[in-house]
Amino acid sequence: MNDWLKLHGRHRELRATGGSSIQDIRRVLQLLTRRKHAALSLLNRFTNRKNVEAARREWHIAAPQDAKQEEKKEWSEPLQNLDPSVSEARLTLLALTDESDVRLSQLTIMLSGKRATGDSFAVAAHLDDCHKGMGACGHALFHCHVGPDLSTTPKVRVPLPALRPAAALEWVLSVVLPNWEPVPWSQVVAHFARKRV
Amino acid sequence: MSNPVASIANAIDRDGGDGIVVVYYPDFGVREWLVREVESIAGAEKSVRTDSTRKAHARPDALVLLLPANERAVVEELDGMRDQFLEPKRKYPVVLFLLREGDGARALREAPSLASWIRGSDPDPERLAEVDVEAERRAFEAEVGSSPEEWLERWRANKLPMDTGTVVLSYRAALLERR
Repeated sequence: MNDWLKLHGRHRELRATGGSSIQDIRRVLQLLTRRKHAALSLLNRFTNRKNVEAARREWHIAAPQDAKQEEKKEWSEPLQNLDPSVSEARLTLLALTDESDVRLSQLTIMLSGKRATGDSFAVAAHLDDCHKGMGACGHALFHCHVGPDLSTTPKVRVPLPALRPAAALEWVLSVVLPNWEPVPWSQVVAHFARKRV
Repeated sequence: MSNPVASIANAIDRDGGDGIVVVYYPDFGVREWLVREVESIAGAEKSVRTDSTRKAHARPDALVLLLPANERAVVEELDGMRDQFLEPKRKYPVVLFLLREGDGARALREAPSLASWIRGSDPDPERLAEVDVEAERRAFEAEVGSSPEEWLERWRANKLPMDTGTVVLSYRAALLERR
């Protein structure tokens, strides 16, 4: 089996079972608030709505109560204490699961903002709900857009490994937050040293 | 309040988090998910699951997830145990899961001591999460000019621009989509 088919198989597995780890996202959000990169209220604003008839649940970050009305529908969370090369970054977090959070139909973890130079940037990890583009290489089910925005051509869609939602969020955050490293090399070395014993 | 997560967090945080909280669930299929959701939102260092009020009382150091087989019997027991639960002071609350409109929920309406002990810390997060699908579909059509299915067809065929607004809209449409 070639590498793309293997990767596609793992992405399908992620869609089949990845919803069961949606709640792990709270662990990352907790760290984000504890380190003062986001408002404390973010924890309770990562919430869900469900369509009972379709047994479908949508996860999103709800706007704080004092947000402007026009911002509420497309709310993205402002992040603070950013890398010096970044002047502004906002986090959008969306997921679509079944009612019991087993199947992960769709996932979006998106950062958009401005560099210190004033140029815009976007980083967006997407797990698609259907086949898009021509195939599993050019448009892998789970991929990441990187560029000034989401539509500038050529569109860069970097295929992602089948990271579960919390790990994908950790990676996206590592792009803009200084000293944000969930697995520092010292921990990696210690882990493999223990395994050797 | 229509935020199911905040409803759970607020109930747990009430009175310093050392009381008793009732969380309603709509059916057994969702109960296990909701238990994990409460555990995750509470973020307690220790949590235990039990079906017994005696064991719940014995663990004041932990978030207790009380999942009775006989909900009515447990509600009636708790109704007479308030004084026992005051000491020692709990670090985390006991969270009692009751079936919405079930036998335990009916028993709670006839248990004045327990009802006053809970004092409104009894969210039904799954009800708060429910969207009125028809109203939301009408609002979507009024705002976007097409049904969620028509909009999604164009979206999935890459015929719409991709930006934060359309990405957010795609989730809203997918939630409301009829298949």
